[in-house]
Amino acid sequence: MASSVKRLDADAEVPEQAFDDHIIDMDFHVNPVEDELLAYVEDDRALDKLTTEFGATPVVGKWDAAYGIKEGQEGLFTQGRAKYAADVREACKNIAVDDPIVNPGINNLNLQHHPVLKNAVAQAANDYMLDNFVDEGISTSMMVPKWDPEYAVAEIERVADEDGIVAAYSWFDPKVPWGNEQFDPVFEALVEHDLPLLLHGSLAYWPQHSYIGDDMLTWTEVLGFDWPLHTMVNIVNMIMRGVFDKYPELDVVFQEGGHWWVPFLRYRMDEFYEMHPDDVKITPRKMDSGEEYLQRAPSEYLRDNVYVCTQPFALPRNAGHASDLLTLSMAEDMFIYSSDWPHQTLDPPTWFYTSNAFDDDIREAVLHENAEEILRGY
Amino acid sequence: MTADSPSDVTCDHGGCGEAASDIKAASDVEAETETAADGGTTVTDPDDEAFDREAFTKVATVDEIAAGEGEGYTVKGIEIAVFNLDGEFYAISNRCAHQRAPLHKAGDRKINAEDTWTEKRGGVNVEDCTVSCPWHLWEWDLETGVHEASGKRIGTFDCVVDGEDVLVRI
Repeated sequence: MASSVKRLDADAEVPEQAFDDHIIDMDFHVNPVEDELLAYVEDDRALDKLTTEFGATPVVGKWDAAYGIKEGQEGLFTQGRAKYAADVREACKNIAVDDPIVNPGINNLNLQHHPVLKNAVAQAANDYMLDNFVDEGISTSMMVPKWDPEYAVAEIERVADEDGIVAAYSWFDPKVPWGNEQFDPVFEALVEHDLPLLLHGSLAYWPQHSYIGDDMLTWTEVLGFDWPLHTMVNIVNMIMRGVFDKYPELDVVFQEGGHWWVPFLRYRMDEFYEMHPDDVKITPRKMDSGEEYLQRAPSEYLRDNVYVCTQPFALPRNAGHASDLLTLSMAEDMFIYSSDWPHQTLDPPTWFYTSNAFDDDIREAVLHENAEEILRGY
Repeated sequence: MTADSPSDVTCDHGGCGEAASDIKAASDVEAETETAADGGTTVTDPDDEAFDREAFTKVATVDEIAAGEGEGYTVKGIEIAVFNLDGEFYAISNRCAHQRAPLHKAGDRKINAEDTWTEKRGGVNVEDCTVSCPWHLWEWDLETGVHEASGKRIGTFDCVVDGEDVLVRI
């Protein structure tokens, strides 16, 4: 009888085939402890204020995950906390991720109120990542401060040429959408340095103290649907205001903004635009260029310039339905695998091996090819 | 099968579907007999002379599974996790019905646990007799295999201690 018993491999947590494939994880969070992060702040005046009793990020977000799971605040660190390269390698080993694209996961920074102090933290975050990850051979997405486009450009010019910086990391939020022309200098710098722009949800949810924001009482509403709504708003805003006509080489990746809404945007944007195209010529970029219309159908920008991370994937269990949804969502062109380690909505790459909806082509597109198309140096 | 019906929940192997229909309270010393799949009864008290040790498979000795932790095994091709709840042992399908996380990893110490709020990834709750999945904290009843919020259910298996041996009936 004993011969029929086999003790399981203590490390492997995902199907064996995943360890044979090359897997790039587009959203892997690093969370430095505050003292070690602030040691990189260069401006003494800013450092003096960042080390008061208020700390580096005093404005509190509406973090309802604390109520949504029994473990409370552990939603942020369900899997652990990566501070250094060795931590990232240890975490990736068990879930078959070969190439994590790490970011400084200080996702409440965008929510803070003081632009000078925020810039100081952004500078420190990038230097922390250079020292602890780029120099250790781990591909890194540098932080780009959305709140200050001029400083964002300066930071790109300062950091972007470092080997190992493969993308830029910023946030989408309920504030100024990324189609606004104030971001053109940022887009120019990103294109010049061949960096895709990764936009992650920030803790700046639906504006608090607003009717809708304050009536979202569950995490399902806040993270499940608030972020996707803002993702859709930002994408349509960028496309209709001609960002991708002016910067056709710009690639934008939305992280944790959902993905199954792609068919809705794809067909609805084209339908509305083709029926009502006359207002495009009075958007600022078209006013400058003198063009009357978009150069392509809106859905074509979605396919060519926009990518979405897959986590949390929520794949229909019926493989036929899943396959149809992948096709309608242009997954082979738009989807990029992400784990979101270490957060509570973690997605190890299990989905891609446990559903017949994936053939080799689409699996490889999602797990590494789409990422390789846009990451610098790949 | 519909996507979310309990009967759609299986382990990652062919045999678990049958095993899941054989769900019984695990390692419950008060429940000395259980109704078996064939309609008969299974004696789960090793001290009972009717106890049929041949119907069980030894997976470990008691000291090989630390209190509050679990280990994973394949037994006759079926993947199970066995947990030690302060001396009471429970066997359950090793695959969470949500995303097939290996439940035997529940309770592992986190990377840099000292810089997080809790030390472990999921884990057992002795008072509630549950295990929380290491990935997303889905909480499974170790006696019934039920996840209360979704109503989904995974297989549980008779698990008894005979002397120093931990035995499981698949």
